[in-house]
Amino acid sequence: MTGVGYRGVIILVLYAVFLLVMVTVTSAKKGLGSSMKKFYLGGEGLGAFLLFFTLYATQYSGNTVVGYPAKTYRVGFSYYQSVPFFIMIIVGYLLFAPRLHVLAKRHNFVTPADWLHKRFNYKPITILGTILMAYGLSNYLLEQLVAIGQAITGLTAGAIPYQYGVIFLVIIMLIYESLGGMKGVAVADATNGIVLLIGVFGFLILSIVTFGGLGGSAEYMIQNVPEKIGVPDTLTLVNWASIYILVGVGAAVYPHAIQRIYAADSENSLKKSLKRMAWMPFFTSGVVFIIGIMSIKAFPGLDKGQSEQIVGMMANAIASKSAINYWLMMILYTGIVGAIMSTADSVILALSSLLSNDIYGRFINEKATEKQKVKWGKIAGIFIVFILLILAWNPPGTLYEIFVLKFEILLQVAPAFLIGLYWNKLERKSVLAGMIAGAVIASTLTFIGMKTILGIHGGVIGLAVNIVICVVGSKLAKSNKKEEESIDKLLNVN
Amino acid sequence: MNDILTKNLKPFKSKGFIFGIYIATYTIVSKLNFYVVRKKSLKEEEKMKKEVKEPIKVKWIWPVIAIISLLTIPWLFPVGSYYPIVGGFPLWMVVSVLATIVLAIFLNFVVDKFWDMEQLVEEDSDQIN
Repeated sequence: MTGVGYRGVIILVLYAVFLLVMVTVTSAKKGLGSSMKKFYLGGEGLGAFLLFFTLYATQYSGNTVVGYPAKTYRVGFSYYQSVPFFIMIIVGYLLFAPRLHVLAKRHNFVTPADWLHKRFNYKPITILGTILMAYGLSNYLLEQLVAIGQAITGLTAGAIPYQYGVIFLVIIMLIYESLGGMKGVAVADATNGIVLLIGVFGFLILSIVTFGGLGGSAEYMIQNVPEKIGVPDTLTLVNWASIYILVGVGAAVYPHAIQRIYAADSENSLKKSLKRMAWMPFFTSGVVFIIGIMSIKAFPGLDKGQSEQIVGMMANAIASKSAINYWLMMILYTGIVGAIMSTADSVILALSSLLSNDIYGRFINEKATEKQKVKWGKIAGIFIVFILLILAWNPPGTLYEIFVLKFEILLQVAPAFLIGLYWNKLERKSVLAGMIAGAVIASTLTFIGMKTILGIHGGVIGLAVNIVICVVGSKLAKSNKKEEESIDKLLNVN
Repeated sequence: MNDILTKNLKPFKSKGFIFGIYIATYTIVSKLNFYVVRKKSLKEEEKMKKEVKEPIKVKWIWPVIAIISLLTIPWLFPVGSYYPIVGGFPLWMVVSVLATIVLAIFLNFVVDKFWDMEQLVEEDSDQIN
């Protein structure tokens, strides 16, 4: 979108101000910072509307809109997997959310580590779990910060230098988070989610009008790129199944996802939100998948680097047709920025809660008041965001993989939830050993460049080993009747 | 004299008898009532307990979810094949889309029918802390 940058700047600033006003009006309250629950979980909790939108906007990031069409361009129809793998997250939730929601309400949990502490009462697990989650989250945030810069460059056609753009949006996010806590984030997420949906659907309709829809796409692909339309080979299919586990379990145990289970004001709100979420992949990743398929015929012969720009190319082609198109594409870009912000703000809030509740409150100052913890969390959140920003601008030449690990690492905390919630014999030392083994295997495989073995992701292999160690170790361990009884009492939901 | 006495005492005796039976019946019935009511309330309590539904405990839904999920992946079609084309999409993808829709419907069904634990939160909300 060359030559139109200043309009993008105006839109960006207006949108950011709009978000700030929205959050201030709806969620900024006196005394918010006096309680962890009020600040990090929205007090009495979020109703079905806000909960659904914050789940939705947090789950779908800018990468869904920008990266998925590019991936579809490269691999073709087999990237349809991006629709079911988002549904798998709901399956992941069903494995543990019903019981965790009840226990969280009973025992006033604020962070995922609260559960680890309550269930295992073993410092090494709480520390390791917190570190793994904070590490995975930081990398996820880093990815979002890089994406914000790219989206701003797209929206303003370079009028705002990449770094200023990121700093501007990061400051906006930090302000509204500090003002409104979880409720503020949810309100901003709802706004961003709605803009994202409008942008994506507008993009789909205009792509159909501009590029002639899917008509003839199949014939074109059969003649020119049959590998993109044919049934993928077995290795790809195994990889497809493996990603169901990686994303389904990994995304459900993301700390910000778990916090939304805690933040639901009632089970009914949580159920309603998850039911709607089961349909959202069709309206988000499904839509961008179709756009990606259309792009194969519209922009033939792009290499990998060029294909990454496919959304920008399509948006430019659409915007140049008419003024209405142009403004609709502006909405799309705003939606992309919104999608990234809504993911980033939730991650920042989750990170901040981990740092204040689990690091500060548990290990640095055990006697800290709630007010002190919230304050510390806000400051630590700002601190970590700026460290990540420096990293985003000066990416290390070597050991780049350290900053790529997300799901692979987060997944290793899953057994402590998925098994720990149901089996009273799950023993703490086995859980710790499993967590360490899983994390080491998953990260080693990534470092040596073997992201998958026979199509199965390193993180999933690590998880399998992790689970075996947990189960076998617990079976072999000397049973402690007294401890099992107290865990039984904790887990008793009848 | 004796006769008169017997005659006069008869109704008295029978009244006492009836009174005795009444007391006995009352005691038995009230005990029984207490027992029945208690049992009933126990049953109700049990019923209440039964109403707590947790998806993880309904074993059959998990293999069903696994099967539907596996059907979203085109294992059953020959590698590289794309015919027939249905509405601009290869058939294998149409099957995959249908399986995904079935999965979303099934998950909605599971949430509706097999997840109900709200009362546990309400019951215990007093115990918090």
